[in-house]
Amino acid sequence: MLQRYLRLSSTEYMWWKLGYEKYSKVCAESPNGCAPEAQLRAANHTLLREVAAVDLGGGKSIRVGESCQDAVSCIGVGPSRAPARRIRYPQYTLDVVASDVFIAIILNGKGAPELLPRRIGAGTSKARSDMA
Amino acid sequence: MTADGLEHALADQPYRYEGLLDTWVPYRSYPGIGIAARLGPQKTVEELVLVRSAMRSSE
Repeated sequence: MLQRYLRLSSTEYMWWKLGYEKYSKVCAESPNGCAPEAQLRAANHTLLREVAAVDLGGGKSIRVGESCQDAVSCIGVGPSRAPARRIRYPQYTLDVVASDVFIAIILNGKGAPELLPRRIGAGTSKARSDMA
Repeated sequence: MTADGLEHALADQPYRYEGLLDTWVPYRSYPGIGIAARLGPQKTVEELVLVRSAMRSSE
């Protein structure tokens, strides 16, 4: 359990260091011994928060699950509507798939907005994903 | 962005391949964070999709 915590929680938490101290004490009595702190830090895989919104800049953003009515008041009606209600917004380099709410937001060009997945917890580190 | 860049940015998040939006085009889907990616023939990311789970065709 401690090893799982050390693998999945951010090493930036103060609890991570305390967790490692506890882990060291517990596994010192184990025949397999302890994994070194550096090894556990290297194997650390912090989970990311769900990404549900796209920041369009200028104080505008759209969110998966947002009602079309609310979103259209923010970004306007798209110029084209495909039969599957895939709506293209070339000014934002994205498409949305919508019924009465936004079901999917598709970033598909070099000028598309960036996504900034954030780690779960209070840590401030970010992973960055952008179309290039 | 390349597939390697995507893997680096999403840091070992679990993924699976599945169709999205009632198509059979395979997307690399990261269900835990609500993102899917369509990779092109040169291993570049052609589309990044923020998606609700109900739109995944396998569900």
